[in-house]
Amino acid sequence: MKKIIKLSVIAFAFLAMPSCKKFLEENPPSAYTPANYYKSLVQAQNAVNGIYASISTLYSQGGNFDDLGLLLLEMPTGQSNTDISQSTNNQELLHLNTSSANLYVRQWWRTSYKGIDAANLAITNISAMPASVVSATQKSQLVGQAQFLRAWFYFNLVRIYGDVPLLTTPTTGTADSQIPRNPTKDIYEKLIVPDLLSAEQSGLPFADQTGRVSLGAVKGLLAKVYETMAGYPLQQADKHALAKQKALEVISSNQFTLYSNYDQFRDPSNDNKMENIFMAQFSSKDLSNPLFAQTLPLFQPISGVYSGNGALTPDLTFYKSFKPGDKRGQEDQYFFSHYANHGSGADVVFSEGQHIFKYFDNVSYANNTQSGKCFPIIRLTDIMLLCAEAQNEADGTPDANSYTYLNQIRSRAGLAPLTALSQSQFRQAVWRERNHELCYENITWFDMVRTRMAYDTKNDAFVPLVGYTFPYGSNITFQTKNLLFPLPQSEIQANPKLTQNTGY
Amino acid sequence: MRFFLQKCNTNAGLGTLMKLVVVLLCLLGGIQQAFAQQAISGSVKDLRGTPLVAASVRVKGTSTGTLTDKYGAFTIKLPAGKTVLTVTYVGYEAIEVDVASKTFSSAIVLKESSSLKEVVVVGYGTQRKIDVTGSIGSVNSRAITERSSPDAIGALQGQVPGVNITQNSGKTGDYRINIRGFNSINASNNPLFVIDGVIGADYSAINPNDIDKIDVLKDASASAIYGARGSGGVIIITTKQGNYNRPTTLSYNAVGGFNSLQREIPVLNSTQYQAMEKQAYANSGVPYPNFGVLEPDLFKPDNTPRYNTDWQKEVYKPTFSQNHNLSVSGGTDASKFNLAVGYQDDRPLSLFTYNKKFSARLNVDSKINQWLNAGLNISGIYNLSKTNDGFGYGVQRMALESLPYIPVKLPNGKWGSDGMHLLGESTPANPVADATNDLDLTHRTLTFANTYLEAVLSPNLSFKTSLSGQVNSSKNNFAYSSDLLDRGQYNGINASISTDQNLYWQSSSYFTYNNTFGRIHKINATLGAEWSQTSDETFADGVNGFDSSYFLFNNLGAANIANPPTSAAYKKQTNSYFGRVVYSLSDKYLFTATGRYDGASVFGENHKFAFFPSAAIAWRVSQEDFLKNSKLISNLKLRLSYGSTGNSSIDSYRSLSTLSTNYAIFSGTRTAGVVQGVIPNSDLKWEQTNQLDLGLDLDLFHGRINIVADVYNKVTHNLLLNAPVPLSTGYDNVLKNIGSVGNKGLELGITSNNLTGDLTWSTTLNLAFNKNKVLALGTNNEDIFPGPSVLDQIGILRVGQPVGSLWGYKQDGTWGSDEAAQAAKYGKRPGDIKVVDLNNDGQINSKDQTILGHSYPNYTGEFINRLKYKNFDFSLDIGFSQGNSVFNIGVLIQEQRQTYANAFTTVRNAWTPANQKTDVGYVRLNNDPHGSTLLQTSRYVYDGSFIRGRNMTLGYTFPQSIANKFSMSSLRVFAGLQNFFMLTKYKIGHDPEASSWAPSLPFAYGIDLYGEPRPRIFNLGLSMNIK
Repeated sequence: MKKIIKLSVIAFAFLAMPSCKKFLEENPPSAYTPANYYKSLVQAQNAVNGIYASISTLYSQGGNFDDLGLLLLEMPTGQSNTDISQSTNNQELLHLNTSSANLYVRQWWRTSYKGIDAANLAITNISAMPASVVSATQKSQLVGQAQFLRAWFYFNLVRIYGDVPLLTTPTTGTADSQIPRNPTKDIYEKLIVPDLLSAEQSGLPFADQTGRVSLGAVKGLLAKVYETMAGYPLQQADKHALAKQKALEVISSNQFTLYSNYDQFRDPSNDNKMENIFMAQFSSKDLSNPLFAQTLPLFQPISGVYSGNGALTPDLTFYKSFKPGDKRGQEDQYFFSHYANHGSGADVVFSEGQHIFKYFDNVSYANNTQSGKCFPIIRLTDIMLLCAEAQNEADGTPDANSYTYLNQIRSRAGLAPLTALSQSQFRQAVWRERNHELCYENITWFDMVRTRMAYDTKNDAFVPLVGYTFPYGSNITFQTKNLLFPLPQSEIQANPKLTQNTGY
Repeated sequence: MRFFLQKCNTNAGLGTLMKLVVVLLCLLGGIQQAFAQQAISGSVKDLRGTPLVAASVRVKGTSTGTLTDKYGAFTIKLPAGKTVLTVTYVGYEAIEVDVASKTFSSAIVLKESSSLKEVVVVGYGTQRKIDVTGSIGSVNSRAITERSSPDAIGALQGQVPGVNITQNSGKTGDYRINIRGFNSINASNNPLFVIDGVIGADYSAINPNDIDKIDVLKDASASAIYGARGSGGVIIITTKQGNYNRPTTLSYNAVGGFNSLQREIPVLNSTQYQAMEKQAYANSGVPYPNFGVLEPDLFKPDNTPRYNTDWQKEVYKPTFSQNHNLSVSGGTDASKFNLAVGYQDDRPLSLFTYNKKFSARLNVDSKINQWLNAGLNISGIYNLSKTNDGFGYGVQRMALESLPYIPVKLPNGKWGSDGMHLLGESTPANPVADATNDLDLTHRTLTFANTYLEAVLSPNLSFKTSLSGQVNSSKNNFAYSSDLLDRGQYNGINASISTDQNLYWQSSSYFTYNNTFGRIHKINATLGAEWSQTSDETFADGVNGFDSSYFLFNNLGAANIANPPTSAAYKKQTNSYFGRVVYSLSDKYLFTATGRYDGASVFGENHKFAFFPSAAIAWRVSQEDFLKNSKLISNLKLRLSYGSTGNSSIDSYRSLSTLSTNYAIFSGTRTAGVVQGVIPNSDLKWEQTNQLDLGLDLDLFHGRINIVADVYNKVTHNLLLNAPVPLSTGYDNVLKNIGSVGNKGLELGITSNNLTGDLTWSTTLNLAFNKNKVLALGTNNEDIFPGPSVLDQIGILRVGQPVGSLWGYKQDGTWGSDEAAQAAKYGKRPGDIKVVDLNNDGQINSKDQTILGHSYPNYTGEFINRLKYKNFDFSLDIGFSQGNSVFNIGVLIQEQRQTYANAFTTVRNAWTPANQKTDVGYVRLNNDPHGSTLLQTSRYVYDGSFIRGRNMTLGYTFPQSIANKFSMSSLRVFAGLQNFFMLTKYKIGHDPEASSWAPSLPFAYGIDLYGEPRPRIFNLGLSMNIK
């Protein structure tokens, strides 16, 4: 009897236990797996939504409080300065001394490829979904958005780094993760252009006021891509005509309208409307845009929400390059030098001088909320000036349309219309307008390397980019190596098949 | 307290009655004795003179025996012709005394048996210490409570060589614990804690007064029984049990601690700050503003500052901590129990912070019948803590950065703020205001239960099965006061609540077999199986925009903006089979073989299970004939062990391919999105540490000197490493088994009983040397920056270097006036910080960074002295650490960000044309066009070697006669001092041992960025036992 009890104690201890194999199985309760996802239309839509998040990340991520990723393309233009000199990342760029360990160099690479893999994941999986779940029309529109976004990420990569690895399928393991650099030309011709042409046929609406990709955005991006292919480094002159054509399709659609003044540019209620064709999306509630805080003067009691970082400020010679009558150079247009304290209303004069007013968010200022202003990626002014530039190059002389576009922008700024210019004069007039109109919108840098011309702000002239000495500092001169940024140091270490850009 | 005194008086009355009864009985006994047999009286004490209670006194060769009473006294009747007594006591060497001998003294002294009877807990059982083949360190309850530490880990600090415990900051329970160096990079390096058999139990909240013993398993032979999780070493905590056949006793102890700042950090006062500021304006070519007009609140009309606030004094006010423990323990012949309750109120220095803890524990063991025992341990802990870290820049940082110009409060009652001064940073507003108005409260409830049944199946075979559970819940309540708007901090969350609920259960069952064959072959074997599961759920919700501060976190729904809540859950399971055989031949040659076949859910499909074997031999040389009668060597054992242990402390689901959720904004509204999450690795498997240990246990002069020495060599392979993958894959890293780390070391523990007799004095010296080296990393041995990163990466992991390598630029003073041309090439001017262009490419950029120091010491040690004279006892405990560097990022920030915030007094030595031999750049305004980039240079890496007066305690035990008056069996009062001195070159920070990141960030030791300072503590306490 005793023995039986003894044995049953033992038996109880072991019988109570589950079988071992099943016991160690894992089923993540807080994450989907590729196997249990992509089962409904909503899931297909969410797979595409996920890609958009990388765009906002590009324009909002930073390091310390004077770091902001988008400064990669603003600090080295010769038109910028900063109130605050703490950030090594900013200082390297301002002095054209960018290192491969620069934080922004890694952020652009990393975030772009995160977006690309998310797009590859969406395209591959949505394409494989049965028509009973996602109709052909829905599928085409979803894949079209993903293709646009993938093309946009690659377009940034080739312009920033040159040749980059080309990945068109989602990563499923680490087995063959070391991909060498593909020639820039291939990236344009095998991915960017085909993706955009396919997106153009995907049945997207011409405009979209929610912030999604529209047909207008596809055509606008195609125009920018073609005009860039026409310039350096590919110099495919035939692309000027294609750029002009795509830009014209955007302009003549009449879906987008020019702002009549610069208050409208700043007003968050115009986000995704009027002349905005495609924007990086922000929301004061869920995902704020740090650019307002980054452009407010350092520690000046202007905003009730932000103490002001003064990370990005104008170079004084650039500010002075705006002609006296140019509205954009006047107080509270693109720049400001004093402002009312949000609380007391007392006038605060900035000891550091001129600051950027372009991103002054009046809603955030008035309501003490975070800035939810969206950041423009493609806007009508850009496309109109691009159209004028491409037409002038394609046809050898500016046509009436091109004068109209250029002069519309100029008259908004209070400048007299231009007439009877040579091709070269017209070209420079457009460039000057682009420099002034589109400053601090992540456009100037790309214009500089595409045209290999720099706007010499001291002399109001266009000079070859390589050899151009910046107006500030002691002998900061643009060198050939500066045409491309270095690849991130960590990436070269992780992928030995990559080579570093010359000079880094 | 008044109530308690009354109770004492009542007891005193009872005591008198009891005493009368005792006297009567003695008298009766004496009468009887005189007629029948010879009776002998005496007492039993240890070398220190402490009475040994319930020691066994037997008449040799008879069945007559007795136990000593609470004073260690005994009286025994000697049958005719018998004169030899055998006196035994657990943990002491047995002794035979002949009462007829001329040398007989009624005071019998027993020596502690360091080697013979002492038992160590080895995991799934105990072993006699003499049979142990592995490297195990033990700490008893006396040493644990000696320091009056509010937590067990603080009590263990320095007590076992090789167990490296550093106090991270002055916050309660903030420690880094590591045994024999770092084995792992991404999996945890913490040792495995086992409390009363429950693996991975939460040690942080256990009341040190409840602990009977701590055993530390250091080498592979000892820890392999916990194979899969043993590679970081194992710390086994055994709580106090009752004793069978023991009268019920009550003990109470209380400690009050007065805490004060060890030293203030030298920052500028108002006059010094103004002098620096004036110079900065001059250097930057800006006229000094007329602050008397601009800021009349802060400056007098003659421009001199009105205030001179010492913010450190405002923030770090002396505090008083207290700790009370009450326990009742006893037992009958069939059951025993120990019941303990504790209350602890620990007050770190930072204004208004506290850590309060209520704990209760009941341990019961019962003999159901001759072959069946059962037992239960239950404990409940409630812990409420308030911290100051989360506000603005953190109160600790603001204490140093806030401007001395600013008053705590203005005459009109409003809080002062740095934003009141031109160029002052508006974010670090006012630490006193933050500490007063903002709340960061964490509630924690820990419930723990462990039950067991033990069956003796045959004289040689027993079986034990236990089931344990732990519920560990924490909830954080956070509220920013809404007047932050005026202080420029409205950004972000106003109030939040976050919770974490962790459930754990474990079922273990094992057989123990013990037998001796042919008198010399002893076998002890264990075989068992174990299952466990952890389930964890977290939830957090934060809101902003209340119309007042009224609600704090008590009505989140009243806020304007509801941010999306977050939640997550995970589960982990393990299933293991283990066995151990100890074979002892003639008590001279010992062999141990241990193995554990371990399964864990967190690993890849192909590698859920792994086997971890170890083997050890030991030779008790002193048992050999040639040493048996040695006067010098009373015990000598040589030990050799080799084996492998594993590490599975990684997150769940890392081997699976998962997608992650994010969100995109459309029309200003958040919309759910799904993107790539984790890159799968079905080959993910155990990290494995192979360790060789060679040890020596040596007792000299009959135990007067004990030496334990070990050398070890550990190599960890298949590191669980977040290996970087090319970012072009869309992922950052994959958790992979790649890379290798080595640790070699020497540990030495020497205890010497210098004096015995009236004055006893013993000395312990513990020393541990460890040399760590990263042997391989990632696919291409690429550098890894494990964090933290503030201005730049502070630490680096590089092959060939130890973990904890500090990273930055090399500084070579400042550019001199005669170097203007050379400085200009780097865009610098005389007076700027001069960074060495290591690669000589004419530029200073990230490529010029290098390793600047190592944060882990070459060796650490502890020197402990204990003295006892009559009723006085004294202990002195000194800790030391040599060869560790400290990177002080705070000095960097405050030295290089001149005029943003207050600066260290070192800026008074800043560069001027007349003072060029300095490391501090010329002072300038923060918006100076030639403002300097913040550079993490070698200047801020300091030698952090130190000698610390850790603890000094003087105690007085009242004579029995006095204790008895209060009906107590013992009463001791004591006074102690902790952190009473510090010898170090590192004077720029509060403490060279402090580091400012949570211990969960593994390689952040030795990085000082505004941590909570460790206080100097003056303790007063008493302990009493009542029967």
